Amino acid sequence: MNGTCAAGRATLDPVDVVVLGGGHAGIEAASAAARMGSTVALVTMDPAAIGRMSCNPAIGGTAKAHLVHEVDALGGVMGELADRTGIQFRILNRSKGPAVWSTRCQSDRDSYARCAREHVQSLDAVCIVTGTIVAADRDAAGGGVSAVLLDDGRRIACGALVIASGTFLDAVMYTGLEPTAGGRAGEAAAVGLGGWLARAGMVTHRLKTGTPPRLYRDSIDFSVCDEQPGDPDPQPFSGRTDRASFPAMPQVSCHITHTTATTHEVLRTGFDRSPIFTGAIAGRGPRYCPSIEDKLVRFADRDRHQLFIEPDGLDSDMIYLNGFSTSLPREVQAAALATIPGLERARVARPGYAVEYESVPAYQLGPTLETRAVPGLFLAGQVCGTSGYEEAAALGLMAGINAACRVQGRPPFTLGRSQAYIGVMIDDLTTREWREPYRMFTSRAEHRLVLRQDNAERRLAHHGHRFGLVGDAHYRRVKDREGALERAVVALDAGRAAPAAVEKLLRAAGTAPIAAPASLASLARRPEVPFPDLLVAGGAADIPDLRALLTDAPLRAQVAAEVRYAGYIQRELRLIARQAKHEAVRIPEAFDFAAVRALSAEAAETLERIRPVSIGQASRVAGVTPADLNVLSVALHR
Amino acid sequence: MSAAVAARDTVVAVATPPGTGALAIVRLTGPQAIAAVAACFRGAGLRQAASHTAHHGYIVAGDEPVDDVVVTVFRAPRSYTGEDCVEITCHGNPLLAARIVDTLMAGDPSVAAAGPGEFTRRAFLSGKLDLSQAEAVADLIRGSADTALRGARARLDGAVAASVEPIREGLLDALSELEVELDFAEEEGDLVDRKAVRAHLETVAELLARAAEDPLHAELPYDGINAAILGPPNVGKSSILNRLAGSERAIVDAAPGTTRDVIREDLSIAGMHVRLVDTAGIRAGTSGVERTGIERTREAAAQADVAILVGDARTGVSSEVRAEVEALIPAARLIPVLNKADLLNGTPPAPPLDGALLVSARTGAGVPELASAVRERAAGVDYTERGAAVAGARHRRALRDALAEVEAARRLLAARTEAELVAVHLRNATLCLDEIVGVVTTDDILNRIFSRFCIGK
Repeated sequence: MNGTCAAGRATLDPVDVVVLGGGHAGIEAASAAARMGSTVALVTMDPAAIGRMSCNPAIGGTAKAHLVHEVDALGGVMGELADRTGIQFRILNRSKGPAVWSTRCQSDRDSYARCAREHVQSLDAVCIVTGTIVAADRDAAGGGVSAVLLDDGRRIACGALVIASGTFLDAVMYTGLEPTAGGRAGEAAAVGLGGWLARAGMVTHRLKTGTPPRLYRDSIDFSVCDEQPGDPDPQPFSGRTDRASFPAMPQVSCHITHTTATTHEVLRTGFDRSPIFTGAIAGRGPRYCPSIEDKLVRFADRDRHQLFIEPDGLDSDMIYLNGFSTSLPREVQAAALATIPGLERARVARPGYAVEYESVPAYQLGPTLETRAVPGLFLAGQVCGTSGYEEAAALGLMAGINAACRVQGRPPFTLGRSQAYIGVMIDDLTTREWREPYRMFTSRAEHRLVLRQDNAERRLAHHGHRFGLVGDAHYRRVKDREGALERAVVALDAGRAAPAAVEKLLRAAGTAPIAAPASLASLARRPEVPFPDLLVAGGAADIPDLRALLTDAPLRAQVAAEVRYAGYIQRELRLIARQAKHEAVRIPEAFDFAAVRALSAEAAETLERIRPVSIGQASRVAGVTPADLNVLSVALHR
Repeated sequence: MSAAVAARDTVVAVATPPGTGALAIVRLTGPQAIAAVAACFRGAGLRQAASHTAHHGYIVAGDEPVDDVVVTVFRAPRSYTGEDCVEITCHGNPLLAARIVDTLMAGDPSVAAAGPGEFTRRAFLSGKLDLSQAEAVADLIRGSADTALRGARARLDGAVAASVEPIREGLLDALSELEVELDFAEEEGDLVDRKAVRAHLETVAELLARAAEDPLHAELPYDGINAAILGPPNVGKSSILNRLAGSERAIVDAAPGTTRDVIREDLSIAGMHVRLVDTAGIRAGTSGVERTGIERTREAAAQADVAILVGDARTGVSSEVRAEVEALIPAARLIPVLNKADLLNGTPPAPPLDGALLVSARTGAGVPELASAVRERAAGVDYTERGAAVAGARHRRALRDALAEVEAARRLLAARTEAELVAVHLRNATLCLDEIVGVVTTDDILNRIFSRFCIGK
């Protein structure tokens, strides 16, 4: 049906799921729902903008990489798209343990968008509709979504709607004090839908984000900057990426420079025209991704700030100046840039800007990302308060799966905090009232050692397979590797190293020699001992279940993590099992918190608004005490 | 609920009021109840004991006997809570009972101090209580939580909070240093300061070791009834306190408050430990310096299980003062008293104070009746549910557990172990402290990172 529905008829063919937005969330939502067998209309204001990276040309990074791996394990597309279009891959945190290893790639911006677009176009069940959704129809008052209405009067009947409108809802951009309506440079804002959401009973608020200036590559003197190359052995995100043809694109370097004291002086001259400092923008921006002017104010004692010069693409003449997000007037931006080593002659292709947009706080969503106010309406990405491509993709995937489940009458799909970063994120989003865009951090995951990027497929691929998002052949491979891993862990426990065989290795690592034969696993737990060397010295070549580890780096990393963390993992699994009891005590959807006399008024009011789905989730709502939980558990048994 | 608490399924509490009766009962419920007692019981083998059987023996801490006790075993589901339950009947000294609780918790890490309402809640959830009692159970939990909260506030009011807060601060500082290293891998190297982490942890370990041995915490299990004497100035509140203290030979301690203008007396009234607090006079419409005194009076009243409202028998108590006092403490816990009965010379008190006891602190007339009224009201406080009697034991346990985690973290740091493992131990340490000073969320750590480090590419 692809392409057949774009004609300008007043009523388009009905579909199962309408997805609003062709960004990272919309792509995953449309793709998942379609591959689960639902028909999808992807409505976008500009089909050419599908998959466009609004901000930095990069995927992954700490904690975000975990999300990409999880999306990939569930059968989402972000990992494969990044693998095909990456021009630099690095694993961050390599000096630390595998739980916090995080892949990050620089993307060729145009290639990424093109591959994303081609992927969506390749799905027979998806039709791309150009337009702006301004409202939705419901079955009856209070009923589920039955159709969407476009600004030109067209109508699409549907069983579910996923809104993934990014920063476009009632968006205003600022460079200096001049506001421009629009959700992204050169693109209009989506006006109308925000009002409908409010009429449907949803609370909205303003959030803000920003982006740095884009510079012409040939105007930069790279010779005075530090070069930052990628890893010599780049690793892909996706388990489905063919390693033989990876990386698919030539690999390039980024560069690093710094602001100077003079830069800071120049920037300060523009503070009186900053939309943030003057109050023109009321929305809250993310503290972890501050503008350069915010950094100057909050860290006034720092005499320089690090900036990354990132290529926009292999053939692009643009670079992205990471770390210099700003909404100061363009002449101030230009003057400040000229004081930065390497950027003295930089020409600005497009100044940095801030964008303020309407967002729906996610406490109004359930764990499936469906809104409580409008059944069948799902939200994903920045519109429900996150920040970042990876967060958006993860939410889009979950919303798409659940939208399809709804129209297909299948049970909903949710992930817990102990199962995935995705579960941590959705639980965080839906149990708190966030005042700034939410970004994933590894420190948000209490079970960090269990939720690693290396074991994402083992954790999640069976769900992806169950929904038909992960193919049989690949799933068999995942299971095979799981078996190989388990056998290798057993073999490491059983394998003994003779003192003489490992003496040189241990001495070189600066750790105590052994007097009697020791298990390979116990030596692998010593942080100083390089695992590959230990395998060689420990005779892995002669142990069938360990032989593969000598050549298979990803399997080796997984095994190392399992062995290194074994004691900690067992402890966490026990904690998880106990916590599961609280998660299992469900709170009915219509439960009347206010009617529980013994709850404190404050707790009742908060619980009524947040509406946790279980005692476990209630325990994470701010202001709810252990006594409130006891009262609640008693009331639930009535 | 912190993970640390959620992880401990077996709970213990002193089930009898904190008096010096002949006997006290320490009660446990949960899957580990029998094993935990068996581990520190010298006597018949409890592990195989049949339900509803009593066993004589000794509770021992290591090799040292703590007390000569009778242990009664109740097996699930034939028990009050529906779980395995054990009741330890020991000698009626509150310090001894608290020591047994301490010994049990030290002996089995899966045993935790019972929270407010815990036994009743479990009984209800196991279907041991009538459904129609649900509301009453919920009210009870709420009520006892409020009581426990009052106790907690009293404890955290001064010295305890002052000793724990720097520990928590140090832990959060160390943790945010580590987390910034993990979550912001691409920031400049000068952000990460292992030396600072080690220094923070050295201080934290010292503070924890000191706090765990601090008599401040050792004293906590001695946690009797809090009684406050309230009323306008010059009605003889201090004289009543002195008379109550003097009329009983067993004065435990008398110390004028050093940080506040309230006087405390720890005394025993008819075998029940009572901490009696004298307060600044309540006057309608006070301001300025006197307000400070009033604030402290308010605090004392808020923490009181029982309050004695004193008026002058000749003038009664003004409605303003009465209203002020009733705003501070429910009428059910109030004992109205008219003092200076000896000055009445036979004329009736005016205006009368409803149900007031007529007392003369000077002559001692009416004082025994006042003492029994205090005891009577105090008996209405539900000690089983309030869990406060083991607060001291819980504190020490939390501090010791936290210290063990910090020491583990320091060992790992010394061995150059990866930050994410060190962080596990520091998180566990903060979870331990949660039980004393409230929950630390991951947001607390991130907030610290955002305010201290220049983050963000």
